[in-house]
Amino acid sequence: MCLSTILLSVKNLHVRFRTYAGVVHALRGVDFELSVGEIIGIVGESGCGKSVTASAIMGIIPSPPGEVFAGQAWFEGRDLLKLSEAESRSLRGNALSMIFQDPMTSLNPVLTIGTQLTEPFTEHQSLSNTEARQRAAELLRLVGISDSETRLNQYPHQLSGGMRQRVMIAMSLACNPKLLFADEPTTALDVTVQAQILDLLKRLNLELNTAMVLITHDLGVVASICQRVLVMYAGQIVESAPVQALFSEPRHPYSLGLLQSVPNPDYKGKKLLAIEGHPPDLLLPPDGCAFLPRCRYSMQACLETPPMFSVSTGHKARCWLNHPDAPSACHEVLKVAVAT
Amino acid sequence: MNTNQPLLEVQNLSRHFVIRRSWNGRPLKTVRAVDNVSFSIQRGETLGLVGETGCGKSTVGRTIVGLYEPTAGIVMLDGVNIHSALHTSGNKDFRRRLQMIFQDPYSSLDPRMTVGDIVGEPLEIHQLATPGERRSRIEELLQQVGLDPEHSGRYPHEFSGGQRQRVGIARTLAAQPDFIVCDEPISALDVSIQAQIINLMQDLQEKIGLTYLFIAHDLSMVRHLSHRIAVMYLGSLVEVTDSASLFNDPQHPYTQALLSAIPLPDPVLEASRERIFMPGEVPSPINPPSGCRFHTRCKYSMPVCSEITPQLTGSVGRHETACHLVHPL
Repeated sequence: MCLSTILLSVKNLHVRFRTYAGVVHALRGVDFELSVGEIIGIVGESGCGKSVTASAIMGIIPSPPGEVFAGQAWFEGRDLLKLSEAESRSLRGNALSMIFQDPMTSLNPVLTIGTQLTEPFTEHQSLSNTEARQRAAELLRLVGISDSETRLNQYPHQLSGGMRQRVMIAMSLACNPKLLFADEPTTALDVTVQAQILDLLKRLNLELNTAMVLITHDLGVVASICQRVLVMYAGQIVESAPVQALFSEPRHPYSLGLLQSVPNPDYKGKKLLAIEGHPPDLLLPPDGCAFLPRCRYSMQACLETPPMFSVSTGHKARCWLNHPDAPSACHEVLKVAVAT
Repeated sequence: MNTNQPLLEVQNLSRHFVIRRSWNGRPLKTVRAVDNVSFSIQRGETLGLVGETGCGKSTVGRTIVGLYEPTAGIVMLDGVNIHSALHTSGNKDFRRRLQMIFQDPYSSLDPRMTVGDIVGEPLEIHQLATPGERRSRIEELLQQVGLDPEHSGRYPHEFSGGQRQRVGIARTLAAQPDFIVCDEPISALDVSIQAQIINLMQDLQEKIGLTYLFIAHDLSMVRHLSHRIAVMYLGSLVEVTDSASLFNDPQHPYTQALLSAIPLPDPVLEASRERIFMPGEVPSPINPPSGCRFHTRCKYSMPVCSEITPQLTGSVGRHETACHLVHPL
């Protein structure tokens, strides 16, 4: 893993949506970096801005109502947010690619798999139809679909959910993307199929050195394939950590809450430690720490918005508990909670 | 009443769906969604029912509450066959005692009814409260599931997913059921909200002694909530046991593969673990494999597996497995 080469650098990304109810401030300053060949996970609840982050970088936020009104996303010397529609189109599906959540609805039901899968080749690499078909069949074999020639002539409804998701993955890999966004790629699937898809993503990462941003709400998925995790809450990144560190010593109460709401076999029969309440309404983003009303460790300082505190190399958290001047008891409080 | 009698007993239950008929009504194509399934649930117990999409777990749940007629087999509540009871004299009491919590909190509540009306409807249908008492009973129910009784005049769209699921649970409780089928009650919710609902379900079980059939595909939640777990594959049960021994000592090859596929929320454990690979896809229930239905994907498959269907064997109520490898003929 080469941590030195930065592939994508996102700075201060702000996105808002104008709705009838008012302006929804969906992303409120998102910063992160992604190295070549790295897999990072983005976790958080629905509506926290995980998918919007990916869509904004891909340039597929519908506008109106959406609007990327501040921020930069540097990829290979270019700011993705400032590209023209034509430039952006030539990157999408080529160097940048995305796997969508729902394999049932993201394929066109009236076109054969072959037609849909050859499109990236004819569009981006100007291959002839026969060449494109050959490459498409190769891709299907790569993602573990046997009998690929026949599959090319089938329609999406003739394939199972797992197969369709593989087709989606094949399509997104068509032009060997450098960066792949996977938006909940396995949420709609059974655990057994999920395991196969995750193995496939891991293998592709090793073989093709594709960097991935994996959006999920399943911490198990994160633990199995990601190297680094971003925890998002109410349109902001609240913790960014190497995967081991997040699981062993989370430094934000929200991350801790997420970890504790997953059942632990050692505490069977005991209560799950649910995070009470629900996320804030982004129509009226709260002042101060967004997690304040649900936090077990809230204090006076939390009325002010906490900055990102660096905890150790590559581990940052947006919580006052990590303030360098805070008493050491503050640093310990989450550690104690993890241990119990 | 015999105290050892299970609250709910399912005997050789089958449910087939005819999807194509000939001109004279003869079935041509049949989906064998549930085939010869037997289990029992004691009062106050939670039985988890797990399996992949399309294995028939929801069909089992729906047949138990009487939404489907069984093709064969019987379901007994306190020793009375419920499906024949449902036919005689419009026995509403069985409908009341068997309730269901649905998967999707968005489509299972009528958008044009207020939450108070939704929760109050079972009270009216089963005459469980006089019109005078109804108001206070509704408030009590909403409070019981952790909602503000003040909100009884609101409509479902004003609530979040987790709150709607609470409304669904309040509606179920209104009927004062003995037995609740929970069909994936948490899979549409966020992780932190899932934990809230699971805690609520556990609280209610302790307080009012409810009995649950908990249908889900999230195995770690099933493990947390259930006393016993039944694993289903392609319409039949392959293993039934208490949840600790299912996870510590899975016997059926399918259970082993299924458990190995759960991603663990622990990077260290996750890296050291070996995954059991199942080749191919789940066969179609229209034409299920002969003998053991898992034999086409099982790495231990023997000639006998494709000929004779293994039955659930083992000490009843302990660890039952349907596999020729574990229980040779």
